[in-house]
Amino acid sequence: MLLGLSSDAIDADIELGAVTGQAEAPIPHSAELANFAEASWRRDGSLDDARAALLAALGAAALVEAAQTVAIFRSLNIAADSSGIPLDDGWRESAEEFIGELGLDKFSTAANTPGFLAASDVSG
Amino acid sequence: MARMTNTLELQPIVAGHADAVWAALGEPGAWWTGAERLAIAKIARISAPRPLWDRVPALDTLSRDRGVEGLSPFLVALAERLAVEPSLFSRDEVQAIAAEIGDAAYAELASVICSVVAIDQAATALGNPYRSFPAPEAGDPSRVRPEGMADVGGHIEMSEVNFGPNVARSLSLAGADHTRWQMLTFTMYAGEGFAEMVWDDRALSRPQVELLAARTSALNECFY
Repeated sequence: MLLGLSSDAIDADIELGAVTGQAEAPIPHSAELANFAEASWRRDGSLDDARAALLAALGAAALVEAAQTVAIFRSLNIAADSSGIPLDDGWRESAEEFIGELGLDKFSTAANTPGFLAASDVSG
Repeated sequence: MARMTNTLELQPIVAGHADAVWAALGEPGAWWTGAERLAIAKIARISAPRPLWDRVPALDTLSRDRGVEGLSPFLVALAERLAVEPSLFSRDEVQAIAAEIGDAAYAELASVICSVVAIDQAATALGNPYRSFPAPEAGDPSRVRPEGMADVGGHIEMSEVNFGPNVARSLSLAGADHTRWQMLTFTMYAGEGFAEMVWDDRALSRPQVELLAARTSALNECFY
């Protein structure tokens, strides 16, 4: 949702598929950023190249911010999943719009996220 | 592709909060000793996704007898699953675990893992070595449960009062660990600019940061 709102704020018409890797976001250096997020998640040999490409494209300060972001979101995901926090009220309505389009109902957490099923039912 | 030769450091404010989180890993918590917390932290560090033919054993099949570092095979497997496949925990499973070890002890264990994952993952992403773990401090857990917890619809109780998105109170049952982790989260992500959709004082724009966040969460299959 915040990706959508912040993109709207700069008049960037983002495709939701950018979230799941099915489309490229109309955001500067989105390919380098997405590759870095994916390589950081895999933690394999592709990370060196992804890091170097992001550094070349955006510089050291941006690379540090990117590393901090992917790291804290892996952590946030664990906090969310381990505690089973319900969807926030304001986000539930937005979720109704993109659950089916992105295939989020296939995520393993879909059944374990309080509030998800109601949003999913509405979208379906 | 050229390789980097200079070490990239966390932003100073992030490093400061990471230092505080790290130092506390070896201190007695509310429900775990310093040695037990460090054992949990080490599992978080070494855990990696397993191939399909080598799954973490079912928790109900594992021994509850504590080993040399204070953790049973059950607790080791629980920590591993929280570190690498948290999306697979159902409400019923979490509530059964919480009934067995205590809901606040579960929250503290999960909070330690969240803290180690954040700091280790940042090091990995930057190509830096991991921090050394602190030495364990002697002492008993305080066994103090935070006040103001309630059932707000999650798998475990959390703070009844909330000033932000639900994830901000997710592991509030972990007390001081959660507070330290919250500060780390605050500085590593949006800081004071959470409500602002345009950031013009950073190296990355808000949409660039949200793209990283959304892609990471999708890879983790985190619906929230």
